[in-house]
Amino acid sequence: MMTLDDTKLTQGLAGLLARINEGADAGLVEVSDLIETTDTQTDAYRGQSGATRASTLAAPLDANYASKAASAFNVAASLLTGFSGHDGKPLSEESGVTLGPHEKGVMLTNFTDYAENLERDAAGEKAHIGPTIAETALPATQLIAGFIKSEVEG
Amino acid sequence: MTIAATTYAQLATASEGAAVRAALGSAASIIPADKLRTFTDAQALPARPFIAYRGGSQSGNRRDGIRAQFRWWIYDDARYGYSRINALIPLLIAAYPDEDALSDCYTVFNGASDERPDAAIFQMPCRSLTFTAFTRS
Repeated sequence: MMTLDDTKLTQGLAGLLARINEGADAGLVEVSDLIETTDTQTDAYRGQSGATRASTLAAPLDANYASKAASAFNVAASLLTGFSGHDGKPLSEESGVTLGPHEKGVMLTNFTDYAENLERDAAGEKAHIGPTIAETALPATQLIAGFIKSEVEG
Repeated sequence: MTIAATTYAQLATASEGAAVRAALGSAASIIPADKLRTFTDAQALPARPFIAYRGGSQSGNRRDGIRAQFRWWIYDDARYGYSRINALIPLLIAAYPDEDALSDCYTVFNGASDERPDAAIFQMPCRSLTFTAFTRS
């Protein structure tokens, strides 16, 4: 009977997976910047208080997400305090998105209670989140793939 | 034809959209979404239910192919709730088979929005269907 020592093989595979993971994490940070920049530069809506645009957040769904969301919410709350142009309010609520143990993701959102109206009223006349996701999906995928490739190739 | 023109015509004039037009009762109930703002009262809107088309973002390039989102919004009178809207959904989806339905692109159905009245259009019950069209590279 012949035995094969695959210790180095399994170590190598574990190292490869770790590098893929690191590349993906780095890529998601860049992708978040791309998505947030794209969405904040939209001309789909004009805005009155500036709260929607200023509280727009795209960030990886990692351990730091909650604090970034809290900061963005505070921005919306600050801009809407005392604003009388409309009766919109700052809003932060659970997204309902839950990642599995090997899943990664980026959340694009903003923190006003009329965000959904912008996306849907008058057949999406002022929609921006959906279009931003559609517009950035392909370059985002390419960006992440590039980061993983760089990490793996060292 | 542009992707928007092709995907609009799929329901407005093409044979694949015949079941949708039959269910609507009139091809005049198929409109571009920007036309919604021109109706100053609900009675002037097209015969209900009606559907409104909005072209979305495009990405990609000519070498690898272009992907373009588009969305159909289905509206009806409040007295019908969402029953006729929901009955239209499978007909719209069937008008865009995943492969080879259109001459210069293929489409994928991405999903339908939840039931929610449109505050900007007379609180009419409304749902939207999102598709992505891909040109062949």
